Amino acid sequence: MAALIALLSVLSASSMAAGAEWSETTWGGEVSRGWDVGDSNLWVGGYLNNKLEVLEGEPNSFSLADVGVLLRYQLTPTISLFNETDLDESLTWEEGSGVQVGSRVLLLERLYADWQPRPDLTLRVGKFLTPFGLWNVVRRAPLTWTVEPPLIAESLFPDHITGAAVGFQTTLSHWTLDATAYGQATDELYAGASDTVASGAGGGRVSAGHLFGPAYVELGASGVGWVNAANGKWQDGFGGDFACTAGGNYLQGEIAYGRQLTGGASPNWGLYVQDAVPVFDGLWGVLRFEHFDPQTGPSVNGGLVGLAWRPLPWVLLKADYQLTNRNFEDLNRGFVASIVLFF
Amino acid sequence: MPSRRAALALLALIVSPLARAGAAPEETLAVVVGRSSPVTAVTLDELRDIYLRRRRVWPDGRAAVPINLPPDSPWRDRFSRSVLGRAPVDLIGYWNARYFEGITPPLILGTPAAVRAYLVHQPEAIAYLPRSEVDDSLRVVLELRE
Repeated sequence: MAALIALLSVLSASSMAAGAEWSETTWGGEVSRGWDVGDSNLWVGGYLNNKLEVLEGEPNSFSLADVGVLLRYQLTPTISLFNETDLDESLTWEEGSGVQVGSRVLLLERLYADWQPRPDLTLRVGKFLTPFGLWNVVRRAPLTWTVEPPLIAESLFPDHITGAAVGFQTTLSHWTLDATAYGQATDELYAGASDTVASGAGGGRVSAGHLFGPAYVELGASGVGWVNAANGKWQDGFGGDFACTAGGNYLQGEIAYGRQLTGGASPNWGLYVQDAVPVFDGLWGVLRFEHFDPQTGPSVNGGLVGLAWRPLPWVLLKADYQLTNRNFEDLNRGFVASIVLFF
Repeated sequence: MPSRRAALALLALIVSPLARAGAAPEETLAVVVGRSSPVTAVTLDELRDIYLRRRRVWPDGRAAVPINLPPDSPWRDRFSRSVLGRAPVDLIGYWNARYFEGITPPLILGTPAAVRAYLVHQPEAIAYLPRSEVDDSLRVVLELRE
């Protein structure tokens, strides 16, 4: 990894030197940009995520939880290839157990080709994140406001689709409109990266955004039918979501419902509402409430109070205190924090 | 009285960023391309899609390359609010999501002179400048008035 970073740094530097005629050019910005590698049409991004957990009933731990590399290659202006590979569970310190070298599994998160036959149309083939709701498509912790995701982002629908998708995106009379339909007719490609795996699926998502006074509001709806690879049973899931941004304030929420179509299992559903409020330049206070009705067991009501601080475009620090009426999956009462470095 | 002064000071603190945000000059903003560009006009909706990088190619299949002014530029703030419907700070979440797909925000050029120089050599690029900064090397494809 270090060798790759060094090589890319050299290539990147030579690219800037070649572009010296743009002496007045600045390439900075308020968000991380990754690297354009020379004139090769290759873009490289990625992140390193370290996580501290001080949770009730569990040993304290600090882990180099996640290293991700993003590659995008622009074959032609209308055809691109994209890959995300993650190195998970590489190194962990746990109270009472000391330092442990994890499985260091390389996970193929995404691998797909995009073709834009028209400016408003995208055809995608490969393995990609299921376009369901808001969270799943930016599900990696480095790009979210909180350390842990809400419970409804975990198990109501498959994380990934290995298949094809067609996306339509346009703006009409200041309304931003998006529609995506997708299908999967095979097993998931390298399924190790997924918590919830489908062996077949079909679904879609529509969303619309518009400016209302000072607030930009987006509404979306998603639906998916899928075969759960764990038990071979058909399931379906439906969801609605909204996002509202104004004055640096990010308010968003999702509701999702999932059920098994055969076998008589109870449906499960959940929702969350989250607000990230700007405190001062680069620092946000975050509040989240969530409710989840699992297939078995009592309901979970929880939430968090946290901070997200981006002192530099390539550094993000998050600290959350999680509250819940009972510990369930990733929602445990206690303190979690993470330091993310983008590269 | 001191409490009233404190309240006024607090009000000034709250209002001053808003005042700064609204301090963009009233001069018309021109959306421009280089003279060698085949683009002759864009609509406001197309411009929004290009600057949000939802639309990344021109109709003839060539890459569309949007150029931004720096984040602290009052022209950038005005362009962002009037075309994208959001201030730059409200787009951080949007660009985080796009970064995750390998799609980065528009390039940033530091000055109008750098923008002009870039457009002359890059026919696929599009940018915005105050009308007084537009010279004969550029073609105006849309004007944005207050």
